[in-house]
Amino acid sequence: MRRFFLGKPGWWILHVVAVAFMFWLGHFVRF
Amino acid sequence: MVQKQKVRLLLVGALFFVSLGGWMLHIRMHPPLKQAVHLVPFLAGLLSITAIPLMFLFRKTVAYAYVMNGMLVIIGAITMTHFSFAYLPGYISFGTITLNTSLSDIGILFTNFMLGKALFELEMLKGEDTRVRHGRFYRYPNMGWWLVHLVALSAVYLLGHLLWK
Repeated sequence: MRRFFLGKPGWWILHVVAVAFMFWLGHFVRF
Repeated sequence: MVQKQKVRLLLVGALFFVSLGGWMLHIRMHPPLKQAVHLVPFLAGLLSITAIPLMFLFRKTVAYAYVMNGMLVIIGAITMTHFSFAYLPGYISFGTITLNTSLSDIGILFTNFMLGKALFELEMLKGEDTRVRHGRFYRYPNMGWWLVHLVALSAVYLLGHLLWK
């Protein structure tokens, strides 16, 4: 049976990296 | 060659050429060597004309290509909207908002998303009875999932812009 997505460490790692990247991108992009 | 393979190749070709066109337009308007920030569309475009079309060609990597392509579209839409706000037309009207902002560029970018979605549907969702089709609207790979990510990525980007000076 497929495990619930919140129970997978990969899901958390990916989302922490993605949030950190978007936060940095918001800081980096200045027009 | 089977019809499905032909359609897949045509869609991958369309994705490649629309990405190539957008990438070259970006290089012309925002040379990547002039400002560090111009490296963002340069690198995103480079991925869109190399890795992503290639990944769409193989069944094993289609799902990854679908997500990467969609995320790059979201990042492009967010940064171009930001650009439009930074360079708002002097006079605000329907005409200036539609023609003097990045709205048209975002429109072209959404072609990338639709092509990616078409390739994913062609390969992964065999028919109307596919189990994932009956999932909730906001769960992967449905459109609501993309909407949730568009809102979430925009919010984090905005926080990064406002809080980290």
